[in-house]
Amino acid sequence: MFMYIIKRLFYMALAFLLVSIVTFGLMKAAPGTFLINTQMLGGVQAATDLNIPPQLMNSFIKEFHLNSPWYVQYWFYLKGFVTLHFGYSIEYPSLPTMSLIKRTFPLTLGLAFSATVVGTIVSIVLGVIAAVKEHTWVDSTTMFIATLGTAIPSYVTAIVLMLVFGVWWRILPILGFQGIQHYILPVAALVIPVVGSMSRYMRNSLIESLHSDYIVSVYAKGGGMRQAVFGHALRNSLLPLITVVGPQLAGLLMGTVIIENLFGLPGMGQVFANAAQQKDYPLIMVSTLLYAVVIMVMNLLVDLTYGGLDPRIRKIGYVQGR
Amino acid sequence: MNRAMSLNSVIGNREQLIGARASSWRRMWSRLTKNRKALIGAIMVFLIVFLAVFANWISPYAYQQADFTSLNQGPSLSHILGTDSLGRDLFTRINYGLRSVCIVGFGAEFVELTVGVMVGALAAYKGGWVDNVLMRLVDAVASFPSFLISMILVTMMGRILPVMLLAVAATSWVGMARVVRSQVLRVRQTEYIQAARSMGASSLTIILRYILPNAMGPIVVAVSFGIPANMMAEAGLSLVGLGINPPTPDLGVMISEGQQSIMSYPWQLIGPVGVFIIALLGFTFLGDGLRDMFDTRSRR
Repeated sequence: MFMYIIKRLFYMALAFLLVSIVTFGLMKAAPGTFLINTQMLGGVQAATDLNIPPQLMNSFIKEFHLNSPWYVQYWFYLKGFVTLHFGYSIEYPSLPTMSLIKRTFPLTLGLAFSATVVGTIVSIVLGVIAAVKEHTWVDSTTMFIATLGTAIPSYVTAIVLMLVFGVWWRILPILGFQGIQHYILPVAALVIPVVGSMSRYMRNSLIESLHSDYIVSVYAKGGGMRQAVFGHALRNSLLPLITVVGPQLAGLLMGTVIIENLFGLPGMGQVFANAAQQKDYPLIMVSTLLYAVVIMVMNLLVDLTYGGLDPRIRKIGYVQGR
Repeated sequence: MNRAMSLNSVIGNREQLIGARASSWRRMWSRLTKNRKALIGAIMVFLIVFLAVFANWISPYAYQQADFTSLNQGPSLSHILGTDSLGRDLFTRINYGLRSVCIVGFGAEFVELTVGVMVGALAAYKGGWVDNVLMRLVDAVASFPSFLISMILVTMMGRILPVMLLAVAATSWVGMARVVRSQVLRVRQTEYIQAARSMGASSLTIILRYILPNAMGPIVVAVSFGIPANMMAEAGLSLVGLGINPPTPDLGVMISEGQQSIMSYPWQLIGPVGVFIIALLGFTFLGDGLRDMFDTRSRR
């Protein structure tokens, strides 16, 4: 197990390096340097980028080592991120990026986390109902709705929810962030695709368990359906569900970028989208790495939980180095 | 009685034999048409592609033709899905928008397929350190924040159709590479591959002529799920303000514009979103059906 964790951390570091190289390379490949590009943009597009005073520009040149060759720039970029010295961004010159992230990232994580929790619970409930009523209309209806959920991305669901609850019935707000009612629709929009794929998975996994031999012996010893499902089958079919939570989380986190923009929630996703539109390179690089690290750590945690809970995986895991 | 039964069983066998003898494409076709979900999906996909390909002939107006006497209208006889804030016919714009979405959806999938097949087949066929290096690369790319990378690519290289296509494909080829690798690994161990090798066939011939055709099923399924995923990514880019530059019509851009006037003119949202949902569902149903079709275990 220990070797496995070391190995995973090593691969994570490699993946992290790759992400940083790719983002840095893209920034370098873009025409112009940070500041010239910003000036050009300001001249052509809007006045918003024009008000960078020369002192600030000099401080940027110093801060991002723009006079040095690319490998020095890359080194300071990487070092700055790893030591959590994020510096400042072009878009918010008076606000350290660190406090910007502190202000916005909790909301994004909160959205993703609550959507995961709600989604998992709803999926388990729906999956159990469908599996217990296998091959009846309950099963097929639930699974059809689940298919719709998987096929339609969270932002389209969000728009449909907005139309129904915000425009026609007018019972929930569709813009803003003050008060709990503003978070109902965003979380619901994120939850529905998760429920779509996870409840299907839950159903199939539980059906497989219900058809196995040890369930037959539960019935043979006089146990009922209730005992078979809740006493024996459910525990075994919950385990594989953990493996799908990982990829779901990554997808959810990417989904929040769009959802935050749709509902006007001041999260990290909106910061990133603005940064991308404004070509705010320092902010883009820092936030991409931050998202990458969060996704990798979440995946690692999910895999470790799975390995820790299932003794079979634990053994095979460190023999094969999976 | 006995004879009739045996005759029956012979006839039954004979029908099965004919079924088995029919060409594999015809067998697949008949299985596809028997699967109701796949058929509905195929019809929806056909409709979407038809609208996209023949947008010039079907559309009643030109997509940039503005009519300032009828702005923000609801559905009517002259504009069946209403008009937008410049008085342009929404049905027309949806047709042309579908064209962009389809180009990105199919084009990105083509790129993914090419890269995925090359990487996956090479990794599985060579094995050893090649496999190890390539799969570590695939793992690393799979842990990328894919949507952000697409956003950066579009920001850097401009909001035009080819860039959107590449930006969407840039990170999603890894799924295809994994599918191809696992399939090639499965097929590689079969005896006819050994036979081909013993007859002196080259690696390329073996991969192209024997391994890939036999590994086709799951790859086709992955393609039919990949196309709507690409469409989603493209529309998602539009929704965060990185859609194709106007005046080229694009479904994602239309959804994002409609979303801004959701309270006053919901019709501008309903048309594009509805058509987008039909497109996504069509591919998903088709993919589900294809999966059932290729899944040998569930064959009756």
